[in-house]
Order: sequence, then C-alpha cells, then structure tokens
Amino acid sequence: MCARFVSALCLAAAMAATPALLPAQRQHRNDDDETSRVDTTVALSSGGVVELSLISGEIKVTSWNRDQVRIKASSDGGILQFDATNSRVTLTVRSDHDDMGDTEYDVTIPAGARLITHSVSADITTDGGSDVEAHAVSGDVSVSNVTGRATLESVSGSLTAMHVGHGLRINGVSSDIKATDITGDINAQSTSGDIVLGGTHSSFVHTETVSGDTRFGGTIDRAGRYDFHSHSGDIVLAVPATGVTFDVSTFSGDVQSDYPMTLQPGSEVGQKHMEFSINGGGARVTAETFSGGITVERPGHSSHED
Amino acid sequence: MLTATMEDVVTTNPSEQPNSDVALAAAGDRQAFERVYRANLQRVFSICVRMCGDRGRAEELTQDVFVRAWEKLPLFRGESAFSTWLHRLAVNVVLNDRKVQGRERSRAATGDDDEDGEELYGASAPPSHADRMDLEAAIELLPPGARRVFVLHDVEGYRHEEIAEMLGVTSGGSKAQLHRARLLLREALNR
Amino acid sequence: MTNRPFSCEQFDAALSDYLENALDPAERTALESHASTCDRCRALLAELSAITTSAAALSDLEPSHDLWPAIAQRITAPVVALPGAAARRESRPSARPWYLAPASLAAAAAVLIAVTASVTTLAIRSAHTSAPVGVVAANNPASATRRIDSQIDIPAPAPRVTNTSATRPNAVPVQEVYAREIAELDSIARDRRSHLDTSTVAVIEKNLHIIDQAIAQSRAALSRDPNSGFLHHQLNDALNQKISLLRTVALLPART
Repeated sequence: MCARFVSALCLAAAMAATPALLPAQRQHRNDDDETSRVDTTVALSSGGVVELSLISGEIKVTSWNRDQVRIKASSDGGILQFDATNSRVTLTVRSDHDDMGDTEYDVTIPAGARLITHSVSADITTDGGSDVEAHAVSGDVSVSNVTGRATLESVSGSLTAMHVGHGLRINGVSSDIKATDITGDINAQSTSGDIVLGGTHSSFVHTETVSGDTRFGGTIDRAGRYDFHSHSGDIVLAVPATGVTFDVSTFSGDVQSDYPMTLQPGSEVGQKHMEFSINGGGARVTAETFSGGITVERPGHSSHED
Repeated sequence: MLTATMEDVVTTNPSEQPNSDVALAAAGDRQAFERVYRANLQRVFSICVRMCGDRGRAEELTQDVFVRAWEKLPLFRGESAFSTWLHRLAVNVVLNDRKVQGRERSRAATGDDDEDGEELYGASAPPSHADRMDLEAAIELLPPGARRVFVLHDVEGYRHEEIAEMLGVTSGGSKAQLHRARLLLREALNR
Repeated sequence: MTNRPFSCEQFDAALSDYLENALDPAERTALESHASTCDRCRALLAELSAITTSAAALSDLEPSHDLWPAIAQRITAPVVALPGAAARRESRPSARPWYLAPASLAAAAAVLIAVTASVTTLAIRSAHTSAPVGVVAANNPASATRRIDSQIDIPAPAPRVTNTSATRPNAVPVQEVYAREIAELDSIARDRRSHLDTSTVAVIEKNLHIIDQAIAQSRAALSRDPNSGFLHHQLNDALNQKISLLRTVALLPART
C-alpha cells in the first residue's frame, strides 16, 4: 500500500519534469486518504484534443499560449484515469463503488486546442479553445472565447456562451440560454427555458422554444436568414432598419411592431400573418408562434436590451 | 402470501397481486397501478427502511421503486411472482442509491469487506437509553454491510447465492456477514 | 467429523453453518450435544435462533404519509394517447435488458437517427406551408454530435430520401408516422429514465408535459381549421420538439 503511494508520487514528479510523450497511465486510489489526484503537465500538438468527463463536481478550463496541457484534478471517491498521447489528452473518473463523491478538474489547454467536456451534475466553465463542446445534464455550462465552433447542452443547467468565433449550437430543455457576441451560424433550442441572443454577428440564426421566451438583438446580414419559433413563449426581435423582409405568423398571439406592417389577405380570424419589408427587403426574418406574442422593435427601443 | 422461495411474512394485505391488475398496469392503466402500489407498499417500504437504515430516505426510495416499476412493468413477463420481481427491484434501487452510500461513508463505519471489525456500530452512537432494544432498532444500528445481508437473508428470505450476486460479494462473505450481524444483534439485545 | 468431544471454539466455528443447515448429520449431533451440556453455548444458540425467527416474523413498516401522489405525478401519462404503444410494449423481446449494453446504445442511437431522419423527410414532403422555414425547422431536429460512453460518435441526422411510396399530400399518414416513431422513442426514453437522477427526471417529465400541451393545442386548432398550412406546420414543430426531447433523454449519460 505504501509502496504504491510513493511510486505514484514519483510518477507525478517525473511527469511534471518531462512533458513528453506519455503512455496511458492510471492514478491509483490512495488507500491512505481516499483521494485520487492528478497534477501534471503534458505536451499537446497543435490541433490536438482534450477530453474531460466526470459525473459530479466541477470542470474548469482555461487556456494559454503553450503547446501543453496542465491538469490538476482530484476526486473524493473515484479513481482518476488520465491518458495522454501527442494529439489527445483524456481524463475521466470511475469508481468501483457506485459512489464517486465530487471530482474537480482544473485544466489549462493550448489556446488552439479542441475541447470536449462531459458532466452529469457538475458545472462546466471554459475559457478558450478552438472548438469546444460542453455536455451536461443538470450542470450549468458557461463557454467563452472560442475561436471556432461551440456546442453546449444541458437538460436543466443554464447555458451561457460568450465570444464565439465560428458558430454556436445550444440545446437545453429547461435551461435558460444566453449567448453574447457570437459570430457564425447560431442554432439555439430550449423547451421551457428562455433564449437571449445579444450582440450577434450572424447570417443564420435559428431558435426554437415551446414555452420559453426568446429575445434577439444583433446585426442583420442582408443575405441572411433568421428564424424564431415558439409555441407559447414570446418572441422579441430587435432589428435595425436595414433591408429586411419579415414573415410573422401567430395563431392567437399578439403582434407588435415598430415598423409599419400590413395584415396579409386571407388570414383567418384571430390568426395573424404579416409579411412586410423594410428598406427594400433583403434579409429574411421569420417569427412564428402559436400563442406567444411577437414584437419587432428598433434596437435601443427596449429598456432592458442587452 | 409470497412465493415458495421466500420466507413468508404474514401481513394483513396479501401482496400477491391479482394478475389482472399487473397486466392492466403494464398496459398503462394508472388506476390499476395504484392498486398494485397499495398492495405492495408496505413490503417495499419495509425492505427500503431496513436496508438503508433511514426512514426519510426510505420514503424517497420507495417512490423511486414504484416509479421504476411502472417504467419496467412492460418487461415483467411473469417468470416469477410479481411480488418477487418487485422486491428484487426494490433491493436494486436501495443498493444503487448513492445518497445512502454517501451517508454510510460519512458515518465512517467499517467497510463491507471488513471481516474482522470488532467495532459494533461504527461511528454512530451505541444503543442508548432504551433498557431493552427491540430488534428493529438494533437492525438499524448494524454496520451497513452486515445489515444488508441480515435483512436480505433473515428478514427477506433470500439465499446466500442470491445475496452474493446482488451485493457483489462471495457466498462465503455473505455467510460471514450474516453471522457477524446476528452476533452483534444478540449483543445489542442483551444489553 | 467424528464423535470426539466438541469444544466451545469448535462450536463457535460451526455455529454459522449449523444455522444454515449446512452441517452433516454427525456434525449436527456433535454440536447439539455440546450445547446440551454447555450453558454458554446453549444460550448462544438459542439466542441466535431466536433472532433469526424474530427477523422472519417482523411485521411490515409503514411510511409516514401516503406516497402515491408523488409517484402519480412522476408517472403522469402524456396528454396525447399514442396509438400502438401498448402493442409495442407487448411485443418487446424478453429477459435481459438489451438497452443497457453499450453496443445497444449505439444501435438505439442509430435507430433514433433513422427515425428522426425519416420523420424529417416526411415532414418536408408533407408540409403545406410555402415558407421554407418549416423545412429548416424540421431539418435541425436535435444536435450535431452526441457521444455515448465517450466512444461512439453519432453524426447529425442528414435528411435523405426514403423509399416511401408516392408523396402523399394529406396530413393523416404523416401523423401516423409521427405517432409510431414517438412511441418507439418514448419506449427507449422511458427505459433510460431509470438511470437518471430524480430531479432530472422531474425536469424531463415537466417539459414533456409542456410539449404535449402544445401538441394538444395545435391539434385542437387544426381540427377546427384542417386546411391551415400554418397550423400543420405548428403541429409538426411541436411533434419535432417531442422527438428531439425524447431523443435527448434516450442519449443522456447515466448518473452513475
């Protein structure tokens, strides 16, 4: 028992000293204090992938300019499994006892690395990375400063994305979704959570909720398409007076617009369908609800716009 | 009245369900399932309480058991009596419950595989002021591993082979835990 | 064992097996005769036997309150009755739960992709609305990539032309397909729910209920105005949401 502990320590020291190619290795559960730890730095070639999974606890990822991955991890009752090759670093935790307690990962990745994180109840917070995926069940997810594409999922945790360079996909169930300063295509879905998109630079936006409210504010590309759907949630769109063609429909909701609009002929009583253009048309903006209200406003109109 | 493989515990509510209610519930009839629930509630709750040692948690676990039973009911093909199937499901739910395990861990009780633990009741308080402890209370104070085996064997009537499979231990280990449990109970009851 | 004198030590060692009826007749006799002459051992035997007997006779315990309301809430059936669901349950393969094996999760995922794609295609073909946005909505049911057990990548469902018979413009066949596929997914998702923690299951149930209400409202409106392309489109949106949620549930990682 003691020998194993000592050899694990030596291994950790050796790894810290020489961040080179490493075979797969395993940190054994230390019977003396029941905590499993990893504390090491390894090399990762450019474009490499870092994959982190745990059940409960916390995942925190930051980035730096080195071609190295720094891992500090500890687990209350689980056994950490750390695997590193030149192009892929993997960290998971398992337990023989069905009770892992909390596990914490504090990881620093190269700014251009790809990052994949999984948790069940743990919160995930990431800063940096070229392509980032974060999947949680009840944990909150917050992803920022992604140069490429970001994908966020949770069932009940909140989902926040900031400063993403090349596309965003967010899926929640009861999660509230907030995305700020996103460039590239945006696809956001939540069943009952609200969606707030602000400061976006996108030529393709698609949002869907069933009962959650949606608020959108961002640049409009004349050649772009912007679709917002909800069943009973409200949709509020802050659209600048550029060339836009609106297609707004609702079965029983209210429609309000800062821009003049006309009811299309043939619309059923109670149902509203408006198609109208401003400034010669161009971008296609579509908003559809069953009973939710739809509001189209000029940016800056709303007092609580982001 | 239970099946022949298990020791009978005589109750006022027969837990043998008319086949029709189980079949109806399996097809989605919630009222039939409520009848199934009422007929089996006490047995399921008893297993949960005695195995996890905590009434409050046992009430939550009992709910979990029935919710899971509802979901799995279509898979029950009648190879055994329904009550047998349900009790087995209850045992699994309790064994897989991480909250209970967490609590037990924090009790700093000796582990399941601690064969030579002389300690009687782990870190929890020894039987206190009661002049004569009753069996129920004494069971609650057993260390978790011994308690589970004792409840499964002496209270619920499972065989050591079955217990070994459920708990992931050997038959021999199960027998040893059972004997240890009985000795500890004897000591508690004799105080 | 033979008829040599039985010590208290031997008694202790053999007691467990004795109570299990695992001693051979000679050993039994030796143990019992020792007990008849030794107070300490007789008391021990009697008390342990009594414990075993009492344990088997323990009466059932009752919870402090009726647990049914909480259970009923968690098993609330969907508002919309799905045709064929019961029949589907009865025809399931028996015995071992296949859905727990990792390989089978991949198979389930493949089914889900195929299901979603075919539903997507039919939705595209049958949507009355002229607005292509309906098509876009149906095109993006769930997500890009999901992982199961960190091993298996599931690509995004790509709509592909299925070998259905000639395009049927009326809505009824599409609804049947939706109902069938939702039932299939619902079954898979129900099994999966037992591996999730209680609060997540509650969130899922609640949101399924929200979606089912949306489906019911759309259907009700559609029944009064069956030719409304817009309402068809709304209904399909809601059904797609349901499929998306069930698919999400089916692919969630277990809590342990």
